Amino acid sequence: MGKSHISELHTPLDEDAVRSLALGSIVYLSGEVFTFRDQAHKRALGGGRLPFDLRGAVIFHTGPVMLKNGRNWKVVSVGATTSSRMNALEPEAIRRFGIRAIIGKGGMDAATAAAMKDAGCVYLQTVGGASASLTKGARKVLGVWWLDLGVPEAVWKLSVERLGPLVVTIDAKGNSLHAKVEMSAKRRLEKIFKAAANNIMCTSKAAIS
Amino acid sequence: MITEELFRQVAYELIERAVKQPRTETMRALGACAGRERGLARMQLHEMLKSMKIAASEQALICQDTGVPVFHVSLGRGMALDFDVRQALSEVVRDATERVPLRRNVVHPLSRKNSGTNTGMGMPHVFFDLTNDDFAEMTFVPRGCGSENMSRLRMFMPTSPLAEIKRFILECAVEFAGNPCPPYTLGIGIGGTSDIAMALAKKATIRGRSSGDKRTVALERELAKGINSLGIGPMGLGGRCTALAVRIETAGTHTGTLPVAVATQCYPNRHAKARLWDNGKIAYL
Repeated sequence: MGKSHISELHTPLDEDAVRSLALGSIVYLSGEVFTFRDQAHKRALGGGRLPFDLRGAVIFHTGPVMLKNGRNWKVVSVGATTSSRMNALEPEAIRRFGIRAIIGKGGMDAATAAAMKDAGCVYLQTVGGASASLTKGARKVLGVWWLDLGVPEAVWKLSVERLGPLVVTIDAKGNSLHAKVEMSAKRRLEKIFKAAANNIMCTSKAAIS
Repeated sequence: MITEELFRQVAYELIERAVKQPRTETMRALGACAGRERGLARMQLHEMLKSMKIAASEQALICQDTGVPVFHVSLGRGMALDFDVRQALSEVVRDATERVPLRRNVVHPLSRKNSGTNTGMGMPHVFFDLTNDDFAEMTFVPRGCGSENMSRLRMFMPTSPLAEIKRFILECAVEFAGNPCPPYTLGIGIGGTSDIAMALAKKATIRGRSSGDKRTVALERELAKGINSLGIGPMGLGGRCTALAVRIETAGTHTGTLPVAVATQCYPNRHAKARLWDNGKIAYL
């Protein structure tokens, strides 16, 4: 990985700037993001005009904890959910809505990476579970749609300031750090069991390492 | 006799501690991991520790996913709870959802309609147990979806070599990758029936220490070493620390079967436990 490059991003994101982001670099994001997870993807792709505009937007795979004080919503906690659950729906969402960046955790599959390459979109991974820290970058709620899906599944438009650290783990060239780690892990697994193969044949208490 | 009022107070306290108070042993283990990593892996471990410290000092949620509410309640010999325990815990969860607050996570499994209270449809779930101790014990575990989705069960043949089971567990780790927020605690249940194996795996994730059984301890160490040699690392971005710990629980099984269940518990390993005595004494563990 070497030394990681750190940069500041501001929405709306410029396509060229997004395409030039290097795999493994660290970014902090300021501006606006839309929370967008399982049920919002399903509904958005179900047809009809979206009541919000995702063109060039940043979506965030998260279900925030919100508190209502009178008429105003307050962000109690925000942090990424597992992005791989959106694998089946994301390629089409990226292409149809023109999403420019996705914030999540755990990474996404090859089909999503291919759509990201076509559309000029990057995947920014948060440190999962580090919500107490990440929430400090969430300033206020700018709007909410589809609350009938429940608070975690609704679409929240949030104002953020230096949200991060986020790691570029899928770039707009189709490179994925997740895929690299997975390939290497598979190779290592085969090596472990090849090395142990003789033991396995001879004894029931075979060592794997 | 433990009063309903005391029981409710302790249950509320456990919920709040589980979601806001990082466990000391977890912080220590993550700190040790940070010392073995560099680059992105190290940066992420430092961020995890920083965030957990913020949660502790500002009484903030460790993670926005406050899970589905699961309690384990065990009663010592001769002890009794003379009130509707399920009803009491349900009301505590409803209250905690408003006041802690917890995320409103519980939905109907088919309609996906959110109850808005984290209760109803069997939630909170309560596992009851009887022991020979002189105290009662209550544990609260918020089960988040990231770890929950990374659960697997395989029914092996009774003649399957141990190496096949080891391979299955390592393949699980490869498949899970960064999804359950590594460095996680891996719980493994071996034996029993299919449901018992899964319950053992889940229980193992919060056991906190290694089992006393020599053979099992050796297998736990061997699997931890194997998983950590895969290079998956913190959040799956590469590194040495993938499993903070591997914990195995076993149970007798049918001569014609061999269930193996795998469960993950994301790195903060959120849970809180208390002991209650008949004289009103309480100890938080």
